[in-house]
This record gives sequence, C-alpha cells and structure tokens, in this order.
Amino acid sequence: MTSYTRLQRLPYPTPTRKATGTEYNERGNGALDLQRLAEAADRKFATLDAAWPNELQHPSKVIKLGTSITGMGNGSDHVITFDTTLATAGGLSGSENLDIQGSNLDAIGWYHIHFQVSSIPGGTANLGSRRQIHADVFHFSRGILEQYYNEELEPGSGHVCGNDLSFITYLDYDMIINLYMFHTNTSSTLTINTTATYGSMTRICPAV
Amino acid sequence: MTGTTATQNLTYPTSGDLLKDQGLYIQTLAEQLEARLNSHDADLARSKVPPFAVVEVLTPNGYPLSLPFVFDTVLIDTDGMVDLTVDARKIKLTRTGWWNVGIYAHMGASGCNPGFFSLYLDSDTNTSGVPIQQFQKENLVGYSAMVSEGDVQANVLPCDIHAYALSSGTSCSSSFTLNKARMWAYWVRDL
Repeated sequence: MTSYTRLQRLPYPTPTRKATGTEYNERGNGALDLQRLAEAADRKFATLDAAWPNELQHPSKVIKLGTSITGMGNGSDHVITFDTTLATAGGLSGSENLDIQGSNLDAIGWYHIHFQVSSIPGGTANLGSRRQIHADVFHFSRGILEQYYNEELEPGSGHVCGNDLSFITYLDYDMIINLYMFHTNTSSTLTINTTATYGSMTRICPAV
Repeated sequence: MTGTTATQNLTYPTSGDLLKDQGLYIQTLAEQLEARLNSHDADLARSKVPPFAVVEVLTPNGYPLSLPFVFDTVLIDTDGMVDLTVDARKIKLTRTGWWNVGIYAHMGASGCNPGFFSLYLDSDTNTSGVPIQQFQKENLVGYSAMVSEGDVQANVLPCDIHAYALSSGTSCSSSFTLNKARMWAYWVRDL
C-alpha cells in the first residue's frame, strides 16, 4: 500500500504493524518505492521549472523618443508618439507603445506605468507658463477609462523642463496608454527632447 | 540514518542502517522533499502575486489640510492589506521587505499666491523604514486643479501608510478639494 505526503502528494510505503515490529511493506519493494518517489519528485520539479520563468519574470517594456518632436504650439494637446522600443520582455509586444494588443493575452494584469518627458522652448519662454503631460488609459472599444496628469511651471526662459508621471493601472486586452503634452507658452513653440523622454510598464501581478 | 546530501540535508540510509527500515527512510525523504517543494511553491506564489493593494478616492471630497485622505474604493488587495470599514485612510504593509509605495492626487487649488502645495506619503511609525515622502508642487495661480504624484522604493518593517496634503505660502486656504487620489503599495522583495 502507498501513502502520500499531505500537500505535494509524494508517495511512500504505508507503515504496517507486524509481529516483528513496525515495517512499511514487504521486503524487496524498497527499490520500487524509491522509484515511485523519485518519479513523483521529478514531476514536481519539472512543473516548478516550467513555472518559474513565466511567473517570476514579469512582463516589462521600456520605450523611448528617438526623434525630437518640434514646433508644438500652445493651447492644445499634442500626441507624444514614441518611436523606439528599448526593451521588451515577458510576452509584451515589440510595439513602441505601452499596450496589450495582439497575441499577448498572458500579459494582462496590474501595471506600474512611468513616463518622463523632457521639453524646452524653441525661443523665448513665458515664465510661469504651464507644461502638462497627461496619460489616457484607452480601451479600443470602451474609450478613455482613466486619465493621469502632471503639470510643471516654466522654470525660466530657455530652460529644460521635466514632466514625470507615475501611476498604477489595470491593463486588459486591447488597451493602450496614450501620452499627450499641453503647454501655455505663447512666445515660443516647444520641442520635446530625445535625451530624457521615456515610458515604461512593469507588471506587478496578473489579473486575480 | 546517517547520510545527508551536501546542500539540502536530505537524508538517506548508509551501510549501518537496517534494511527493514527502508520504508521509513523513504517516508522521511518524501517529507523532506515536500517541505522544500512547499517552500518553493510559496515563494513562487508570492513572486507571481505579491502583497499588493491599491485604494482610490473616486468621490471628490473637501479636506482640511494635513488630515489623511479617506479612501472610498479598494481596487485590488492581494494580502488583506486594506479594510475600509476599520480604517479607510491606510494600507497595511504586511511583511518586512522592500516595497514600492506611491500616491497620485488630483487636487483643487490651494489659494496660495504665491506658494506651494505638497503631497505627503507617510507611515504610522517613525521606525518602520518608510521615509516621509514629500512631492511638492508650485502653486498654479489661476488654475483650478493641481496634480501631484510620486512613488518611492523603501525597505520597511510591517507598518501602515497614509497620505495627506499641506500648503505653504501667502493666503493659503485651510482646506482643499480632493478630486481623485490613488495610493498603492506592493512588495518587491525580501530584505
């Protein structure tokens, strides 16, 4: 007869009381019992080995602006279109967007999103004017689900200004995060620099 | 049973052990393997779905400055970290380790002219390892909404975290409107 450990169900011979004392089964079965345990342990470790890469290495992606965006006038939203994928892992697509589309269903879950945008006026800057970025969490069927903003004030004429935005959101299939910039500098258009304009997504956990 | 493997201390019989006890040796080995597999399963489960909670203020509220935000919605809680019925201001960090904690807030104007509006993330104990985080925003005169956010990675002992806002400057209001806020914490790794 065979007994099993409580959780992992690893087999071992069942103890039986005999006249000579406690024995576990007929002599000569030891090799077979050991083989059963070895094969059960092998299956458990094979399952673990298969699970580790998928479950420990969380989907992640970093994108970058590779070509400057110039001539952004004031008073309206300008789309920041990233054009370079620096790294992608864990089933996310190679697109230059923070998104879950195509065949990467396994990547659905809760994500930590981060954007950093570096901008500078092309000429004279209006001190105290606003530079705002906002991120829309967009579903292709349901539209904008959430919006996140960050505003900074013009630090001084000709100065580079950094906008930084960090938030947690749930990303389902067919969702994308769009990034926009808005500014109120009336004396000059704005350029978004390539040197420090990035976006990143890292999954914290899958849908639970 | 006198033999043990080099790194995992798994036991096996050697020449001095009795053949009749072979079943006991196998049972012992099975239980030792189970203990290690259980530990690996727990590590794997915690890495895949870490302790993680997000709370949100969805309904705009007026707040006196310096008082903790009161959250009305739990978006996710994987480890019993939030109970709005007991205390709607806090997320409980449930284990020692490295955590990412953060706050995003969309606030009404402070009235300061000039001045600063600051968003704070703090723990309930000074010894927890979470430094007070201040995310400062210069007052945007003439605009009705201000936004501040930030997050930090900290190595902490179990504790509670909360968020609040302060203003400083000229003619600041004593209260503000919180249009939306989202506070989070997730475990990153053990110390």
